[in-house]
Amino acid sequence: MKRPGRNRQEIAAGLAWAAIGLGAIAIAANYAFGTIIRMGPGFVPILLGALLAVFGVIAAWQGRREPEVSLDLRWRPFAFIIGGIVVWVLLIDHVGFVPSTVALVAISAQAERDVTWLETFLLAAGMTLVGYLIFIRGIGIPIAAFGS
Amino acid sequence: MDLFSGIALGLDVAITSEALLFCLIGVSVGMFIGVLPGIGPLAAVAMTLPITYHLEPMSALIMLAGIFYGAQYGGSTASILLNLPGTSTTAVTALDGYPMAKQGRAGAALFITTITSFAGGCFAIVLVMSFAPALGQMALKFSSAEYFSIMLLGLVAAATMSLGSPVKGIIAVVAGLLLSTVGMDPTSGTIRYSFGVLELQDGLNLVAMAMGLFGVAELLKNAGKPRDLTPQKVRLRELIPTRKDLSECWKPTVRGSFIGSFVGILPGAGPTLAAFLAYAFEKRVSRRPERFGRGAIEGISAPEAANNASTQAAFIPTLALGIPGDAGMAVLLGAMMIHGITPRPEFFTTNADLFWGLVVSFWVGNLMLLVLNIPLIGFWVRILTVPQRILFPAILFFICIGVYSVSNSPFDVMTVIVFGIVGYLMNAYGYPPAPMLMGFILGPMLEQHFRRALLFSRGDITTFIDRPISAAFLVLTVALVASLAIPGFMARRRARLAED
Repeated sequence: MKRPGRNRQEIAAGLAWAAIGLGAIAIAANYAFGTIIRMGPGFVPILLGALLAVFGVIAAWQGRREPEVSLDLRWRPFAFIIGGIVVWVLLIDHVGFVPSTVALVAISAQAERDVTWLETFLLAAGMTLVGYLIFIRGIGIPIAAFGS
Repeated sequence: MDLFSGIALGLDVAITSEALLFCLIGVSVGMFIGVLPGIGPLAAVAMTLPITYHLEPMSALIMLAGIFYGAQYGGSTASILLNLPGTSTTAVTALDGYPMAKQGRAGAALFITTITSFAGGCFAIVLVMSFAPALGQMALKFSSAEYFSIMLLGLVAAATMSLGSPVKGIIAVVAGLLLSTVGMDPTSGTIRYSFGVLELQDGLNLVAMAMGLFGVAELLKNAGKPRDLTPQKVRLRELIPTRKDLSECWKPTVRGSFIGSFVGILPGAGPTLAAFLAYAFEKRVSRRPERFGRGAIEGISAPEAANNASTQAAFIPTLALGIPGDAGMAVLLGAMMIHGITPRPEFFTTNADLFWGLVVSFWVGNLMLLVLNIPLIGFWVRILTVPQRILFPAILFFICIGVYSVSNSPFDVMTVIVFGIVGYLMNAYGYPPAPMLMGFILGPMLEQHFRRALLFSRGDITTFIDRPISAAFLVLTVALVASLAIPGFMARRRARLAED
């Protein structure tokens, strides 16, 4: 994984920050800049954007000498964890607490390869029940158990 | 108010059945979450924050603070028994704690970390009691220039004193500051960086951001990785340390408490740095440094005393100035503001009951942890063995419902996802997420004071160096940056940290 020499990913990361900084300046250019006595809403964002751009370039420059490290992305856990939350958000306002929580737990449990169907079922049922008792019966947050 | 009448007032507030109950709930929940490998105090506070919305401010604060230092205690258990530190803070404890456990001395290691944590915590509580009100008095004279300079010092410290590259730390801080400008500018009413999204006009949600950066990002990092979940065995009769252990650990505990308290008072420097410094110091003063890393008792007692001392001492700048010592404290500060408590110099006189009640509750809570930790050791060990496939969905559920319940906003939960991915990427490329959160929290205050200071001085930038206290903070900031530029210093520091 590690070998000396140029690290393209490090350089790209530094340049990405610099780009964000420049983007922030471009947007903030639409806000009133003001004077140093009476600063407008654009003053500080432009200053910060410039700082980010400068340090992004420095990070990219330093990244040249760092050993090569590549991003170790594991698709399975990534997809199931993010997917679980996305499904929960999309469902919560439409079908209510119970179905969306069952879906969240059932989906995110698949992030680990060694989970069994029985475990998934018990976990989904158990978490939903515990959550219902704590948050809806106990604290009383205004979410319907079923329905919108 | 003098120390003793303060303590008396605090006892009145903290020794009520309600306060005791919430303190107990707080430290137990904190301990429970802290024991879980991979989740630290910050995520613990962020996850439980929404539950406290419906409580009285006093109870909520006592409970949240309890969760915060309780999680610190719990973290060392996973370090010692599994070599899986919950946070970088307890990573130091694993260096000698795990070897001790492998030698069959897990019980003694757990006992000693509990006692030294307690000692370090207590030491720092006394400091908080003695110095926080005094600092508050001093801070009454602060104007915008002083506030700006001390926050700048805090942010630069947070950026550069973390363990990675200082440039990356600074980038993280600046990115956090920039994120804090999203939403309405309070001076002009202009909406900034909303991209036409209605929800962004109120700015980003702190809880959602913290849960993404420290909750979801941690899960993404650890998920799918096989872990060895067979903790080292603990037998009850081994819990009692030998007389030799005790005589070997009391001096490191005292030294660790001093180092931890000092680091904790500095804005921006957190318990991780305290633990590393205390460990490095012990190694240096030891007559037999070769024992470190092989189960030296000084190697667990000094850092444990230091990290708990710094956790408690960090309340000094947080309460007196409203400037958090580290990211965890920043989330706690955010929680206080949600409950309508704004820490500021007057806090000690206008909210005297709240301050003294909170500080006395620290003591009560530390005592509870001492009692909870040791007899229940078997229970904590059982929790350690809960596999990720059960643990992670449960954590995700608490994150989702917690963030959602803040304002019934699906948008906030989407924010969690975005910052989960951002946090994951930042970790992968060595950009520390904690300074980013610091920047985000201090950002609005920093901008306000910056603008106000220059308005008062009629645009004269020298206002920051004309005022002596402000100048002192700036000199410290410059010294900090300059010390990084000295190549030998950096190389030595890196080498020492790598070696440790």
